[in-house]
Amino acid sequence: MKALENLEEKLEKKDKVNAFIKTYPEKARERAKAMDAEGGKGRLTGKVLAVKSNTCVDGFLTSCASKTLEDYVAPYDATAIERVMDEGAIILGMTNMDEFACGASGETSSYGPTDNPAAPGRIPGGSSSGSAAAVAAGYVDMALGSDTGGSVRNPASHCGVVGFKSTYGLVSRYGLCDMAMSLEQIAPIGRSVKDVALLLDVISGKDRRDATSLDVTNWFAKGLDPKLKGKKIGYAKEFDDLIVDEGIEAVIHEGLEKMKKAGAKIKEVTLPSFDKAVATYYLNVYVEFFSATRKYDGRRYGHKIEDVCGEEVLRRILLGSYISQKEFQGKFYRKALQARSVIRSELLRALKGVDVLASPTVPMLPHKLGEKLKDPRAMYAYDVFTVPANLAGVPAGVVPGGEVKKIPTGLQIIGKPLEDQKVLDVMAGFEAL
Amino acid sequence: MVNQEKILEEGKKIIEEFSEKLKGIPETEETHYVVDLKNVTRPDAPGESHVGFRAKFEDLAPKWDDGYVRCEKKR
Repeated sequence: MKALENLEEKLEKKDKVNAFIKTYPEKARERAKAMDAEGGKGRLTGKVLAVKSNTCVDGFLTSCASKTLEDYVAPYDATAIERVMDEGAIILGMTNMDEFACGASGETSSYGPTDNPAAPGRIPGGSSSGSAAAVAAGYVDMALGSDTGGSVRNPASHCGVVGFKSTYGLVSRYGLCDMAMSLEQIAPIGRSVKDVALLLDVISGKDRRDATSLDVTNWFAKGLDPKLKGKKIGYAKEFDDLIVDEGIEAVIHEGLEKMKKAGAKIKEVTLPSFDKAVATYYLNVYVEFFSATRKYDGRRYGHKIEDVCGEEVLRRILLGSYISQKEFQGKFYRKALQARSVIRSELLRALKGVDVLASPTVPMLPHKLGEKLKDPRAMYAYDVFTVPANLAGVPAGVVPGGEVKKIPTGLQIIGKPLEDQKVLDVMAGFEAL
Repeated sequence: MVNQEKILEEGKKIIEEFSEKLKGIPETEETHYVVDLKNVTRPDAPGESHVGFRAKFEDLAPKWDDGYVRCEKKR
């Protein structure tokens, strides 16, 4: 299909779920026409992409869904954006998200919440709410989100699409408005594992502008191998204790059975500190987010963040400031950094005897829009299965696992550092069952 | 209007609870980053020139007047 034809097909669908903060149909048309005229042979030529509003796209509003940056138009491209443009992608617009990626429901956006195309009336998950919803609704072929503690995997699960967080450092963070820089990665969302693998392959690789980016090339040279026969898949006994919804537990165990029937070996592993991951994650995030937001002082970028932000953003700033005070560092932050070491070691140990781990993505189904969760801990609870991969820096992806009461839920596959290919292979194998 | 004091007081309870949860974690090394961090310096040469950056900046600034960006005074 020609690029312009593909774009026009997408543009015919009106945004009924508030997936986008701003679209640029004319810029996209110009680009599509240029792609068709060039007869481009890039790996993404003609593909229509959406980008989370915390990733800089030259000339596009990059607001982080916050009043703080309501007028901020990025003057440069993030490295990931440069790379998709070099391969012929067409960027349609900037998607809705939780404000500064602080949330797991999409409801903290100052542009209003996004609806879930796969389960109307319910949250799409977050923080990459609009990116996952745009893919699920068919507004775009693929999207970029960012994943700090599950922000791509959680909405992928709720919206019934595929999302992948790579090994930390595989993708450059240059041009990403950071939430917690030691944890996050720009991450792809698509309707198939093949699409997500392709997009990840395009955006990954060393970038001299990001000191944490790894010098890894050709990691995806083999392409996908969906064979499950002989694969050793670990499942921790602790997972079942943390699942809240029985329907999700049933879907995940059915998924394990299916993989077993396809020739995979399911092995029980143990992760004794898994239930400490949410506490560890948030104590880290509060401090890193406080540090990351000091540049939003009302002089360098937009408005002073504390004057205009929403409640969850303010909570993280205030608590990060509180923890950062010298007298509290040992008690909270230092302990959280030590807990991070323990969780990482346990996860790597559990992965030693298997190819990958399989787990649920979320412990419960997405709540209804407007059903405000007053206690922030209720929102944080969505992250219990996704934050360990960020704390450990390992790759993890989500593939649709099944439905509970017609609401999608995803199966998460977690791998060893730099074994992103293996994780994608198992995801592709499961997808094909 | 968001009540900062209330958020902070409620938040302190959350971090106390989280801290309590981590009480049993043994004294061990701390993980700040999972990758080695290195200082990266550019070669000792002139930096990249950003041709057209000024024109782009003028275009992007919300208010621009007689060669100067107009900024809102602190509220």
